[in-house]
Amino acid sequence: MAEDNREELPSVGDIDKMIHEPARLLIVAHLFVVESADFLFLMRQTGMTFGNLSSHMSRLEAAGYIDVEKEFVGKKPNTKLSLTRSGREAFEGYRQSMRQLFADGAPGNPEESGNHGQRS
Amino acid sequence: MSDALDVDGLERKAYLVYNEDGLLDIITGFLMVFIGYYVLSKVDIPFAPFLAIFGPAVWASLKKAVTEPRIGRVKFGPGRRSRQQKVIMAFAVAVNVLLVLSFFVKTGPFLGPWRTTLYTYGVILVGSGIVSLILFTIGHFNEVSRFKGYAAVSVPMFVAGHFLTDPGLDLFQRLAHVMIPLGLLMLAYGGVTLWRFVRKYPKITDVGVDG
Repeated sequence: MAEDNREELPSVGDIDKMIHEPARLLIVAHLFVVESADFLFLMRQTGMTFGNLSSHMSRLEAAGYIDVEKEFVGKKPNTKLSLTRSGREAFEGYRQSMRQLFADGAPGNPEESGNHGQRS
Repeated sequence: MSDALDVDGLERKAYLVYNEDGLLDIITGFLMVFIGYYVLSKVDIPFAPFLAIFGPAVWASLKKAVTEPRIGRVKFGPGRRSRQQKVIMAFAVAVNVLLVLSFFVKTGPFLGPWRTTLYTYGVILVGSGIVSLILFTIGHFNEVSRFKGYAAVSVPMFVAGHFLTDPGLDLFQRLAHVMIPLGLLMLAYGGVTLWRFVRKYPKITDVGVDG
């Protein structure tokens, strides 16, 4: 059974590194649960600084995962961010890989292997 | 990482931040005090349409002026929006039930002996059955636990109001005597919540984030 699980686990190469980086994962996860949010909202929710958020935002935009729209709210400029379709698909794929990884238990983890043994 | 993968928890957390400002408490408390004074003063001006039009407008303006400059702007997904629409629908139904009930209490041929019961125990029945229920509904659907607390506090207040208010008064005047202190309590707690929110989330220019 342990062998079967090992075959289903995602390989390192399957994990999307653009999303796997913790700061970008937070940004994408927060955008995944809403339709759109502005720069300030993401700063507050993720606890990231302006510069840090800005640099990760540029990378995600270059990868085609987020859509950045500049607009004016009243007289003030506002940056609205939303996930693109490919961004959503990438995050869903990433979640699925991680769920699979955590649910099945990492190979070589004696505790998890023990549990599997007890269950079967 | 596991936090970022719990998308329901993230959505809820993002939504709850929007209710940390206490504006819902302040607006609801103000409306209760206003309606209470309106009933007691017996002014013959129909304020309901005025409140229905300007209430949401004032709410939206306050959100733009106080909340958005501090925590940003966000558009929630269709699931959350449909939940908010259900709350509005529940309000509309509750208000209509209240109107139909007040019509039957006044004209009352269909109520029979229930009319006397409503007159005698109306402060408890209407107060706890409708006002407390509305507060609980707001708390439940908006996931603001403070409103469940207000609903819990309001029940003994309406029971006390039954014994302490003059039985010779009109049912709605007796209800108003309870709604005013309840509204003041909500205004006060909403004010404290707003003060905490403003301290916790200063305007972004105030904290000097310039990258």
